[in-house]
Amino acid sequence: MIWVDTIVQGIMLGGLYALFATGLSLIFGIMRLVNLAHGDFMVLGAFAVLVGVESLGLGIIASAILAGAFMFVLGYALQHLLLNRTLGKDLLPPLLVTFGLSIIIQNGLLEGFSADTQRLKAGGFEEVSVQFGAISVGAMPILTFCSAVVVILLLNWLFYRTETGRAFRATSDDPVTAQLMGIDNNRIFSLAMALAMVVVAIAGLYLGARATFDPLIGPSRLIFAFEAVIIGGLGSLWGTLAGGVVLGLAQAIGAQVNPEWQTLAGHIVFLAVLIVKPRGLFPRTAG
Amino acid sequence: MIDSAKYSVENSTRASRIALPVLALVVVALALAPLAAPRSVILDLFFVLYLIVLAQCWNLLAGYGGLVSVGQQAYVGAGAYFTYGASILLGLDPLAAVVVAGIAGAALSIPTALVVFRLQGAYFAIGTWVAAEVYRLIFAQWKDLGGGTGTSLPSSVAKGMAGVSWTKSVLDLKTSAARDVVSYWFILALAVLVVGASYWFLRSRRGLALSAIRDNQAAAESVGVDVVRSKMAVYVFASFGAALAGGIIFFQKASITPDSAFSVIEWTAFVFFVVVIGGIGTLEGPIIGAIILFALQNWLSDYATWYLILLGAVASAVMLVAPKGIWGFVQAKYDFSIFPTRRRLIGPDTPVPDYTRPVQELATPEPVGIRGSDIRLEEPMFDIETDVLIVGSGPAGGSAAALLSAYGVPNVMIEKYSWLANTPRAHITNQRTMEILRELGIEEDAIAKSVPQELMGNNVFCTSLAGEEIGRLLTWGNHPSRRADYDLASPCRICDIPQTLFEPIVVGKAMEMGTIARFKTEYVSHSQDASSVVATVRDRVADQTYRIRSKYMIGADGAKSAVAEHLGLPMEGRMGIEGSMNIEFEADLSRYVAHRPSVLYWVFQPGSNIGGIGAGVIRMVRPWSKWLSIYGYLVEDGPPELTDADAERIVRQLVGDDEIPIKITRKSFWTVNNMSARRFSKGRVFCMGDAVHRHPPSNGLGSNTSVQDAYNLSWKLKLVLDGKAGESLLDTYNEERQPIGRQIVARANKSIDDYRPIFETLGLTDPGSPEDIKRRMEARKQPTIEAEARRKALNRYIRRKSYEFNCHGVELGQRYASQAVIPDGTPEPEFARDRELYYHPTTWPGAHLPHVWVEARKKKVSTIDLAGRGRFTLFTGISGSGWVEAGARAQAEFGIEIRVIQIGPGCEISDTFGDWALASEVGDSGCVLVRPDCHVSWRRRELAANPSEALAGAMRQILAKR
Ligand SMILES: Cc1cc2nc3c(=O)[nH]c(=O)nc-3n(C[C@H](O)[C@H](O)[C@H](O)COP(=O)(O)OP(=O)(O)OC[C@H]3O[C@@H](n4cnc5c(N)ncnc54)[C@H](O)[C@@H]3O)c2cc1C
Repeated sequence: MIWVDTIVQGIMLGGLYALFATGLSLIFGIMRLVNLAHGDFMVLGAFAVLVGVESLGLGIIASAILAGAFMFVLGYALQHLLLNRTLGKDLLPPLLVTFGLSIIIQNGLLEGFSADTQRLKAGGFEEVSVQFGAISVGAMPILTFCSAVVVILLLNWLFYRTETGRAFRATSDDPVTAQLMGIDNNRIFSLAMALAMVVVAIAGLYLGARATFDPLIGPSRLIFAFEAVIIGGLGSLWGTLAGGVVLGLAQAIGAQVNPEWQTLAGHIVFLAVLIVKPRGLFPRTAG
Repeated sequence: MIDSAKYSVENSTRASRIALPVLALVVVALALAPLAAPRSVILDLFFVLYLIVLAQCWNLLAGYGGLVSVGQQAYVGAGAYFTYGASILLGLDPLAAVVVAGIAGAALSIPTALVVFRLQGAYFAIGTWVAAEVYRLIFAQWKDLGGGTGTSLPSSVAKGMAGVSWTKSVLDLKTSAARDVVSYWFILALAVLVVGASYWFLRSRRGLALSAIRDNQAAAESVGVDVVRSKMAVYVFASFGAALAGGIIFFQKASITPDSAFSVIEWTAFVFFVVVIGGIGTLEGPIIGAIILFALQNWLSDYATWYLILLGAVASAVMLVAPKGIWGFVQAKYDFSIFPTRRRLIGPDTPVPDYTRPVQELATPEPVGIRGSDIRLEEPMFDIETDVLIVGSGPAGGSAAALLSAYGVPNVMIEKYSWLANTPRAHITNQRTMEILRELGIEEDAIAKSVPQELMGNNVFCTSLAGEEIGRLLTWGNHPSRRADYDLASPCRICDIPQTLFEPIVVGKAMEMGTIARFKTEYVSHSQDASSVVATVRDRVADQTYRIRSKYMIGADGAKSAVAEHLGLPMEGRMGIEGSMNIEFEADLSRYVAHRPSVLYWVFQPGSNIGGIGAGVIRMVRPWSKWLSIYGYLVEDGPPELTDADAERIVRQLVGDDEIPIKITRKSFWTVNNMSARRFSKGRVFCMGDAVHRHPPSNGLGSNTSVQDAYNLSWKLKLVLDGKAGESLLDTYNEERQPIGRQIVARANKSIDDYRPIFETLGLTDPGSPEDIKRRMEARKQPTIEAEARRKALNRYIRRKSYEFNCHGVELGQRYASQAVIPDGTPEPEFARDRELYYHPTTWPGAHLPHVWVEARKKKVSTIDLAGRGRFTLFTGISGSGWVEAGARAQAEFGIEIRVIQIGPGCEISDTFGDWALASEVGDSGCVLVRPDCHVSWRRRELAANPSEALAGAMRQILAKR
């Protein structure tokens, strides 16, 4: 029974990682931007929600919406003014600039909020759990997982059913031809980043609601996000979800064996996947 | 001839001759600093020096090796932990422990590299980071060293050190201060060692090669550099340096935690910033960067967080504004270098002697007759052995290499020049070629670089691009009545890729899969005996000849093939029928083409019918800014002197616009040929591509046919080399491909002739003043009977050009007859439509396997996806289960892969659309045997009485086994 429990926990954890990873997957997929500040953006999102709740006295949902709007604007501006200039064949500029951003955000948050750990309170919802036969699952993890699925559904709808989505796909498949068709890559990329940042804000919300956070934890969450994206392969957002679940399972099982092995088990599964299938488990296939 | 005595190769600069002694003095002064300087200064210097060490190591990795690692903290941390382990747990003297830790760190980097080197680019960066995290977590389990909370170095350990007690007595210091001084000396020595070793290494042959890898991996391999080994060497060295530094840093700190020892910010992000601010890819940069970082830190020492924010901002700004960093800027401005690692060619006409790309530097001096001995190649060139030697890296050679590598046949490819096609000749990439790319897994890469079918086909006939449009033909399957033909024929679509982009994809894939490519290497001659071919080739970098021994050789060396000539292949037809020039230019022509996107625009003007390929052409290279004009000249007169101004005049005349900005980028000359070989091979040497069929670009068949030649031969070579097929299977290459070569040469030349009537009908060929000509052209617009006839004729002649641009039957309908094709007694199916214009799919033996979509596990797959890939495929239906066993038996008997595929409801593959039932042309119990090149070699309408025997008999004949 304990193993069933572990597996369920692992899958639920995977939902959280998938949320972490979706924004990253989006921008990595569309513009091949390796964003080393992604983890810090999530933390920033969590802090934005925190400000809404604690300073403005809003409810958590309202704060999250506000944070989403804030991140949308921030994402658009950052991409438009800064990150678009780093795109190109060379890997160094995006790595360095996002590393720079990462440090700027971490220290900016330190300056503003001190190094104290914080937590978003969901008014007792954290404590609720649902009983399935012999196992009980927290409502929060279930909500997280469902949110991941909904976010991915929405994004897929956006991608395959709307004009903007078509432009996203066109640019990511072939920026040159896309430009030819009258698509403004710069604007599309900015829009993609803005959108990704909304997802980041949602990820931040759950990051803050499910565990404590502080200004410096971004990089470790970034690694999880990357692992989920790469394990899943750059094929689809469902792949990212699957990647998250694989990672969550690995961690949950690792932790079951020895609590100190949780993260390690995730990393090892990640490296193993890379060795066996360097393009991830579900890469985009021909045909 | 240029006098080579005037030139010399230099690898020092005036600055370097002055700077090096100065630098030596600085090092001595630094070594003596502890005598006079207070402890705080020593600690500051310690900080700067360890930054230099780490930055230099990282620079070597990323700046020279192109290995952008985000995980060097793995070795800093490991070095630190090993140092603690060896000194605390084993009681080693800490300095010795640091050295041991350095070696252990380097050792650790080898298995790590085996994992992370499988990744590239961003994946590599992330992979190294995760690896470092793994080490952090593992070291955090080391309970004897405090586990997750870490430990500190007992003061007794330092006290007992020989070095420390000596320093204490000489300098009269306390233990802790003496430990700092000892650490300082150690890091100083390490800094000198790392900078010195990097300097020495980068000037060595391997080091130059390393920079070469960064600039161009494929080209580097061509100069014979074993890329993986060089990268590995750098990785191990950089890790060694980081581990030593980590050991001494934490010895000085006297306490350690996993988080501090494996900090990504501290040991990688800062180092990254230092290198970028100072100047990546230079030895001076990291030193300067370290000093700047230190100054910044001191200046803002009271505002730790602001300092970090500023640092991030400065580094980002430098990356975006001056990506070469401070030193790069200085270097560009003053051509100044303290550690010159690049060799320069100094001569009378060498005003700016700095080459930025070492490979080319090795390559460029050729015209001035520089000799290998000046460049001091340490290792002598040696003879090479391989299974197949391929001469030429064009479409034919490149795809032969890729296919052979895909089939696991060892091969070496040599190419005369330093890189692949530099002019965009072939573009049209037809469906058969795309199918081959699809099999090789590079279809998507090609599509990404291509212009799609729907933008290819408004073939315009005009008096100039801006002038009158005479007519338009929807080409390359873009007419609605033809679109279905194209869509039905293949899982792939025709597209347009310039040869300059096509070749790197194919050759890149070949090299990825194991082809050894040697560029700047020219085939000189060959001889063959009963078991091998020995080719003499010349390395044009070192100007040395050496020999390559292979079991078979492929001559894919283009229209001026030396291999075909040496082999004495009998040729028919003529070379140099017409002269033609390619003028490449850049201009934004979108206003003339946006409403009629196409790859070709044909210009009918007085004179544009002379020489060349029938008419003046404006050819899209990249939409809609890069173009190619093709214009004829009289071959008797030889290539004209063509200045850029002349070229621009021709282009403007074709475009018909005097204003639009035009930039001429390149001019080249070629001739229209009409020649094919009567045999394509002799003994163990096989020629393919333009070497054996030479024709004008009309119909766009050259590169396509070359790729398909390779597809025909490669699997045969594989089976014969493996001893699975008799040598006479190789004769079928000649039997099958020679008729095709001959056919396409004729077709392409005929297409040129088909322009003549258009010119005549327009009245452009008769003499007269420009006014006369204009009047004659206008004449067709009159309401006269004569004009009406003319209009009709023009329409007919333009439509006839479908034989050049919609020639689907010639492109896809190739059928083979040879020993490796077994007729089934039925006559060749009739051609319901024109056999050149329309493709007629059939499974009649010798024809290409028809494409239809079938379904496998809810996924649409093409029959063509099921076949090929180096194996035989036997298609049958549910009632043909007898073939399943037959296939298994034949597989065992012949030792080759025969995949039996049953198609039908409930089978793995289902004929959901019912198309296969028609296309297969055999009964449900019958079968179709398809060769690795997707041609049908045998079929049976019904189940045979003894299927195993029937199949074995067929295989025996195909494989020439008797
Ligand atoms: C203007 C123009 C337009 C064209 N358009 C099309 C088109 O649209 N579609 C199409 O299919 N075809 C087209 N072609 C034809 C196409 O470019 C050729 O048919 C094709 O490149 C032939 O490939 P290949 O590999 O046989 O020879 P090449 O591409 O000529 O390659 C031969 C290689 O061998 C190397 N080599 C030569 N001698 C030696 C030696 N002694 N030692 C070592 N290496 C050597 C050469 O450097 C070269 O790299 C066009 C050609 C021209 C000129």
